[in-house]
Amino acid sequence: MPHLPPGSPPVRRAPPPADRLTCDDALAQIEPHLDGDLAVAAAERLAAHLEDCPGCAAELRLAAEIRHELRSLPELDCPPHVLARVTAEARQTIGGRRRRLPWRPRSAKPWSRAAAAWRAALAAGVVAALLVGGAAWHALHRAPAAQAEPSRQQTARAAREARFALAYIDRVSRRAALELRDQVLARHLVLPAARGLSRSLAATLDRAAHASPRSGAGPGPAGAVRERS
Amino acid sequence: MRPMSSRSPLRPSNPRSPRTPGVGASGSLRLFALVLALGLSAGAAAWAAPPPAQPRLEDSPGYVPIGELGIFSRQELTTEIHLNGAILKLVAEAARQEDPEFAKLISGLEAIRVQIAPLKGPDQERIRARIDEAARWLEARGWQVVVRVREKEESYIYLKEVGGQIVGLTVLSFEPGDEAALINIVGRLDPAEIGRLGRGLHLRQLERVPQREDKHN
Repeated sequence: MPHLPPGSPPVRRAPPPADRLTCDDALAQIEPHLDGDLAVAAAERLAAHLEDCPGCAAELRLAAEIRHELRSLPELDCPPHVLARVTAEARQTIGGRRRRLPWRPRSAKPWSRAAAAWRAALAAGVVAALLVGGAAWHALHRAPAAQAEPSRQQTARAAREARFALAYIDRVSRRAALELRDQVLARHLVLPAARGLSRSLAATLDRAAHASPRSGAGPGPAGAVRERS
Repeated sequence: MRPMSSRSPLRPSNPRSPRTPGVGASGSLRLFALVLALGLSAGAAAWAAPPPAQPRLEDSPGYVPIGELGIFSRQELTTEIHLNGAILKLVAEAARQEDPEFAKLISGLEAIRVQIAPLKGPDQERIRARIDEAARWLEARGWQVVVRVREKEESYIYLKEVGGQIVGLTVLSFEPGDEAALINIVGRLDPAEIGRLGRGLHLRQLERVPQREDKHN
């Protein structure tokens, strides 16, 4: 069991041989182990590896020592005059205006990795939602193909039926026109007009015949018109 | 001065370290999963929603419910034609090369419906009365009478106009001792075109075509 500086988390019992780590995996887990972030099973696997690997065990000791030494150092505060100068320059650069986008956290830097990851995730999710919604809408509004397309014979028959309907309509309209001509116009307009005209003409001829004194074939007065044979 | 934090100084101070699956990466994944789930829910709702309603023939202003008028019973019919928009589009497409005027007329139609029954025996007067009722029904619903002849034979031709466009044509015919007919054409049409096209068609040539079959109206 490697000797660890005081304050390091205890190393647990070794796991079965099938679960042992490689050196690369072990080195990647040293820091999380020192921070106490490793799960129990992972810590056991790490311990098993460290027992058999002096190199990784030395790395663990080194990391623990550095951690201990640095933790012992006092944390430096920013001097007041430096803080004031940085603040003044920041205000001067921004122009006295503070703009913060509503979606950005107050303390986050504009192009921090976390914000970029969130934005990428949001954009990917929106694109995926649009694709799914668009596909659904397209399928929904696609013309229904429930009925089989008519055959050529059915189409030809339908054409003949349509022509029949048009011909029948023309027949009815022509019959109606003939009825109108013969039964309506002839009976109620043409014949009455013809009879009226005939009566007027007969009356005119009668008046003309009675008004003229000369009639017949005998010799008339001089200058009278002679009838030619 | 403040002591150092308990976290190892060799690790980045940003808690969202890529070495451990901390808050940053899993949070992004959670957000992605949430948005994707919302999108899938919206898609599922769209799938489940009923499709937009197709315009019904019965809602067309030029449509006449000939079944409701009840001029003829199904058994009386010798000729019954029911052509809807889909088959009419195919007819128009098929006739476009050889008869473009006919194709142009048919392409604007939504339906052609014909019922013809023989007039024999005492049923003639019953059918005549129903034709008269149908004529009054049409006039009561804004159909404009073009021809109305009531002599020995009766002929009625009605047009339905909406916004200056003729959207329906209905013909009622009664020939005693011969046959009676009801024709309803739905869609955009030009009566002059119908007359001109019909004039070139000889009814006798088409007599064998519209034999009544068991069709659904």
